[in-house]
Amino acid sequence: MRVRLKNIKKAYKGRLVLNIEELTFESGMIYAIQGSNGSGKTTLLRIIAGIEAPDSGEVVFQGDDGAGRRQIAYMPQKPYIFDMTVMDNVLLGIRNMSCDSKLALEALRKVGMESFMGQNGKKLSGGEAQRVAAARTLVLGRKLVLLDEPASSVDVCSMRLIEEYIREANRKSGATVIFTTHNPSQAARMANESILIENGTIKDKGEPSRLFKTLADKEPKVYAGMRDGEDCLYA
Amino acid sequence: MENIFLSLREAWRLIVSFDNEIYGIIALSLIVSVLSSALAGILGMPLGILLGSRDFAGRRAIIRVVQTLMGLPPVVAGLMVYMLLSRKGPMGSLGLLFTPSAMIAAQVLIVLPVITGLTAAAVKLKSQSVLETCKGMGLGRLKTMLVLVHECRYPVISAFMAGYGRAISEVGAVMLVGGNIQYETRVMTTAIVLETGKGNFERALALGVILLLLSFSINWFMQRFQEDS
Ligand SMILES: Nc1ncnc2c1ncn2[C@@H]1O[C@H](COP(=O)(O)OP(=O)(O)OP(=O)(O)O)[C@@H](O)[C@H]1O
Ligand SMILES: [Mg+2]
Repeated sequence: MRVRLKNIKKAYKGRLVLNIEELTFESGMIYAIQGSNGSGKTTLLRIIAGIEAPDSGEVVFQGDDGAGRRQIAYMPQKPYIFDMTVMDNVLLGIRNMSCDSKLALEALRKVGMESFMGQNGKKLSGGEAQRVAAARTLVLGRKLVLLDEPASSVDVCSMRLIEEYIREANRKSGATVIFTTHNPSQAARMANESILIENGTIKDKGEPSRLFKTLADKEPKVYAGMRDGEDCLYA
Repeated sequence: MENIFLSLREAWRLIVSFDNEIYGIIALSLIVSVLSSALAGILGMPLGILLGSRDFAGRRAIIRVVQTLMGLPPVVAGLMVYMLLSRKGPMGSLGLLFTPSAMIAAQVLIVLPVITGLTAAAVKLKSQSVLETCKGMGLGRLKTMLVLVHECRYPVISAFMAGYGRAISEVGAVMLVGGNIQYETRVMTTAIVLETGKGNFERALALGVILLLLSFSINWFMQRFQEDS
């Protein structure tokens, strides 16, 4: 699904936190949104997901039978796990609950959480919760997948699993994926294109490794030792 | 000290004597309070969920009113129902004054704001993250509401219990609209008032102890519906 943002503005208490004139996400691509804390990444995803309404401007969905917002899956930055088993958390979003327990189990396996399936979701650790949240979002097979820092608090092995699952969702159902991250290597590993936002506006956009270099040139000390690309450390 | 001991003994004697009047009073207390909190719950829980999860014009104003009414003195609620049901009142022809129905009506008025207000506050705490997550998963309206209720079930049950507690313990409203008529509208709290007035402190305190025991056992039973117990 193709997504176009036109003249999106959003202010909180008079402070403009998002101001995007024009931004297009092409169908079937993976996008990484980068930027410092408070730059507006979450706000942007929430507006695309329809959780929040922009003060002005519009979000247009194109292609894929015009189902629009019903084709969206969105994973919030702070995952909320329902007070039910891990398995039920995943099953909840799947339409046909009785037939799809295999599908749900498969999703849990992909994030390494299958052994928790019968456990209550409220008792999970922070990283475990994030993995379950990723599984229950990606299992839906939607055409537009919005992930707000989907692997920000997981160990490196789980990060690899989540990344692999995201790629698979993109490959298998041709989903457009937009995720935010504070991990430049992850952006470089995953994305076709990186978008850098600062104070709510788009600062840069393009090849992730080029963005990586631009950022690294500006803050050489911070980026020292970090590498971009498929072979880099999961750091 | 001796007094308390005597009344505890009297309480025990009353319980085991299967005194018809006492059991009638206990039964009526329970029936009136359970029915009034059930009715208030049927109305108040959905209202509270609505107030706690939706944003609409006038929501804040309604919450203010509900919060104010949470402290409504029972006698005032009783007075309102009394005026409605008294012979010259707008619903006087129903002849409901000094019947258990009138007592239930007055208690609904007292309990409804309590259940509504506490439910709204509980739902408000969780609604944003629950609704956002449900929407992110593309759940429909009905499923989203069911999930929200599921996530808030413990505090909502607590809200109901708080309402029930207020109903069974109040005396002003049932006294006013019930009239404390023997064998008809006498409940535990009004009986306590009466016995105290007559100087029968043992009997009064005995009823108080029974009331307390009753609350205790109901709370004990309800614990199994509470979180992490
Ligand atoms: N509901 C709100 N009310 C007031 N201010 C808000 C609200 N939501 C967000 N903001 C402000 O808007 C700005 C952008 O927030 P946003 O959550 O989009 O940042 P972010 O880029 O996701 O940050 P992070 O990297 O920390 O997740 C922040 O300064 C934040 O304080
Ligand atoms: Mg954020």
